[in-house]
Amino acid sequence: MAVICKNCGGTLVFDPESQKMTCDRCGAFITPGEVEFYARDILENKKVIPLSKIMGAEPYDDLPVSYSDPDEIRKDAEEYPDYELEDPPPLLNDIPGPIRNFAKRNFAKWDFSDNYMECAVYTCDYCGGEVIVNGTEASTMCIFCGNPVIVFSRIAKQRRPELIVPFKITKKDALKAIRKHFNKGIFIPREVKHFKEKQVRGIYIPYWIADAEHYGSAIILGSVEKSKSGEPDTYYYGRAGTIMIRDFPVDASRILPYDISSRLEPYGIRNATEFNEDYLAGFYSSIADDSIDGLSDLIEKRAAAIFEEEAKADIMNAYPERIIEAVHHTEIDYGSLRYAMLPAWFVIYEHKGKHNTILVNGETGKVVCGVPWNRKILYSLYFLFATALSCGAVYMINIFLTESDWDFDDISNAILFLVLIIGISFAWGIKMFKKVHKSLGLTQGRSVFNFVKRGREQV
Amino acid sequence: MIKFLSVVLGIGFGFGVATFVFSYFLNESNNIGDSVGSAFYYVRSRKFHARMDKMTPSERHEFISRYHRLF
Repeated sequence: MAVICKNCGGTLVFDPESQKMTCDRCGAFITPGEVEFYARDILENKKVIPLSKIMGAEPYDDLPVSYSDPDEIRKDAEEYPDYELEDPPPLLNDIPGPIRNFAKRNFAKWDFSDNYMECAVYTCDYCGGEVIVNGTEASTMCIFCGNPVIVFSRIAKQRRPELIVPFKITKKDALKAIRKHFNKGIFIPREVKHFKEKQVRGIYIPYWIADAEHYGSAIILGSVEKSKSGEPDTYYYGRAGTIMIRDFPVDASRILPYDISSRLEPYGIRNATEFNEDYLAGFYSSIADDSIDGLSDLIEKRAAAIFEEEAKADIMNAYPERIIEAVHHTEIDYGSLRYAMLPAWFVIYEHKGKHNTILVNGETGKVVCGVPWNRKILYSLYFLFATALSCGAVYMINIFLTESDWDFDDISNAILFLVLIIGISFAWGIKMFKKVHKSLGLTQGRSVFNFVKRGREQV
Repeated sequence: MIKFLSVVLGIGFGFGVATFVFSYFLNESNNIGDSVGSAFYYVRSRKFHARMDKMTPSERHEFISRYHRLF
């Protein structure tokens, strides 16, 4: 469904800057929710036809016996790249050429048992073009006319989101925020700093918003500085209690890794508005494909971490170093569960043949990504610095060991202290390097890339 | 022996500190937005009904095992 301007028939899209629907033709501004739909009932009942059904591949029983196994289909597709269906079902000839060719080309490669790859055909109301949407897409762009398409029946007939946080950051602002971060990076290669975005997409991510009550008990190691000697002393502190967690978001899309979607937080759930389809116009969106049952472990884990953070903050007369032991129990309030759409910009660029996907929180502008580093500069500076420091340290330690008048015990203690510093430096350094490496892995990972691209590269 | 020890410790110190410093700067420079929403955004109320400071090992054991039984 394209949202049409009632004044001129142009396309209406949601504008994050004005928070209104704007017409690209006459420039009209309309408040979301006030757009009048003609034939709303028809739109709600408009069907999304699975492509596999059109191709006659569903159910498998309809296929020749030799093509009932998806593995066999794939194998044959590799052996016979020009393979065509011998007896296409009648509907096949009714769909437009490019989509038919695409389907024929890819039919044998698909595993229809995989729900993520399930595609469907939906008709664009603006130009009548057949748009292929994947199994969970709720809004997209028509590949023929470029107009926004909202798969209205998916929102109306399946579980309708209760809340939406509309985009507040424009595409221009998102790119500006990324470039600002990149320009500050000392190890970011010049070509990455001046990256050319391959694709920029504003996507509403489906989220479950949960409330929970968390009961916990924790033993915290805390250090207290002694007043006379100045040396810190450590003690154990116990805290047990309850915390009420409200408006906690968990992404409900299976394909988007939680490790990266959680970094988009925080979202202002309290500022969320009642869901309306108009906000989707001009953006991509998916419906939830992960139930809250599958996500309860994530909520429990995060609730435990939040409790530990609170328990540490409650220790007033010591510096809380770390949690030694803890017991946790979370009760999720399933009755207050809400389904929401939260905004994010996905920016894809290529570097050395790899796709990198940068995420920007569509409400706050928080940028999330790992960036490739300039290896030559990093490693050469590292070796230079390490060698210079080593030479100085060898010289100083040698003088200390040969000329100091310390007794054996003092020297042993000094050496042990030095070994401790070396161990801590390496451990922290490697830990931080792993963090950066993990972030880069997520940015270059197939999962995020597939979330942005799935079902949209068909023709 | 002293020279060998000086070389080993010196190289260890140099490369250890360099690893720490460069990893820190690499993390600052190339790891953007690596944080999640903190307690501030989600906790509406907190109530600690048991607080014990400077516990002995036996108190520590008792404190945690009480909640093990409860949960």
